[in-house]
Amino acid sequence: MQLSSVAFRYGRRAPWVLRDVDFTLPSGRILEITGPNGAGKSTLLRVMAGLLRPGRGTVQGRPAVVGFAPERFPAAQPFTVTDYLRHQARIRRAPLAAALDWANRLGLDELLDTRLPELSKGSAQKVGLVQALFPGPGLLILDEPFAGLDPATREALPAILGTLAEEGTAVVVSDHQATLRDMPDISRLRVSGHTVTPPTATDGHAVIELVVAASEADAAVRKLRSDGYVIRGVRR
Amino acid sequence: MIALARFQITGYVRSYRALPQAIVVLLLMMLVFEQWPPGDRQVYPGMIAGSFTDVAAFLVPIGAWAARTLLDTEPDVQRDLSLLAAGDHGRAALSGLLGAFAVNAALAVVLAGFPVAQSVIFGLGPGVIVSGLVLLILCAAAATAFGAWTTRAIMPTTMAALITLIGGSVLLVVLSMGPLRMISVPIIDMVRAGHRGPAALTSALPSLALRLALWTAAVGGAYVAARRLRP
Repeated sequence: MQLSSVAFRYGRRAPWVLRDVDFTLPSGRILEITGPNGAGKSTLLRVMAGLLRPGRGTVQGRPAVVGFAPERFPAAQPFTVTDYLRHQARIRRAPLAAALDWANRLGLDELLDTRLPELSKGSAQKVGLVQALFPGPGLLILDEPFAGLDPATREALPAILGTLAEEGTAVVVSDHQATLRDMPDISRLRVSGHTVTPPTATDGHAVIELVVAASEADAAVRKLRSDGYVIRGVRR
Repeated sequence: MIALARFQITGYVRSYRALPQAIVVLLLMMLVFEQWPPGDRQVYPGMIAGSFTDVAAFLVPIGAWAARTLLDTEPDVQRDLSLLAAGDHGRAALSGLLGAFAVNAALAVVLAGFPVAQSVIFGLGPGVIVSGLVLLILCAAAATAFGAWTTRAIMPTTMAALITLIGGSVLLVVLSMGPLRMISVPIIDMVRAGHRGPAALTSALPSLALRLALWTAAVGGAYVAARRLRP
């Protein structure tokens, strides 16, 4: 899959969100997209998925089957988990068993009869992952997949992505929590300044100890996280 | 396409968003039933044929409202997921139209109940029943195409959508009365033909059906194109 000189904006007079985006994503590769909030990561993912058409440039070679797990799965729908997956399986012309198998692997087996609006944020996120995974996509796009997941699934997901990549799926993950930072042999791109660049040596990690007033600690953590930084711990 | 349409219809029904349109259709049926002639009143055929065209005319705004409600039942993110599942923008848009048309066709069948019963009881023959049913189904299709234009996928705000839905319904009636009636849903011509009697309705059917089909194809086709050309 190749993006050539891709540019995107949400209206004719709106400012460009992305400009001059050029890169190639071969099948069987994992690509991590990083960058601060509001930089255009989600927009780039939606352009790659084919949900948004680029204003300029081209996206070529997109696989026919695209799986997309949104940042927030839309749980306000009048279905149980099984009903929802059954409908998705019919639409995708895939067997329901494949969806239920993924549901089991992600620990949703006890929630199959639960209505979507009654799911916790993490469980709803898993339904979003299942619907993206079960059709066997050639291109799998996950927008902040680790947010809200339980520790076990968060730990298991990188290995699952690795297996899918070995089987030939091109995987794109936007992850401002840098959960994949220790994963070897993956490509990384950084979205900033309305374009996409490979991370440079200056993007290497540094650890900073920050001192703030105790009353401002929570707000500082929230702000730093929203800017894409990883918080290793807070001592009071 | 059918699986996606089914998913959308199920969501529309299970979320009770179908209830307001069902209530309005029931009220409309009661109005039609009110016209049921009492024993001492003479029945004239134009009244029964007119019942068909009256409910067909009312189906246009009600069906547009139902189409809008059904297509907007999916949360925006789910619409994206459905699009990816369907494969492309055009197929997703067509599936939505199919689902909305199925609901409107069901409303048309419900609305046809009393006029069909009247036609059978008073021996009007199959011609008027077939004409009435064809017009109702075609009005259901026209309503679907119109309502699709007022959905979130096209209209940026609820206010704009409601103004288009209500203003558009009024405009369709006004246009169908004047010299520009050929570019509108033939509401007034249809109602007039019905009230002139079964023979007039049957003879007007080909022209009314052609105009309804062309209008639906143009407006529905433009909707699918608009969905495909979205950024």
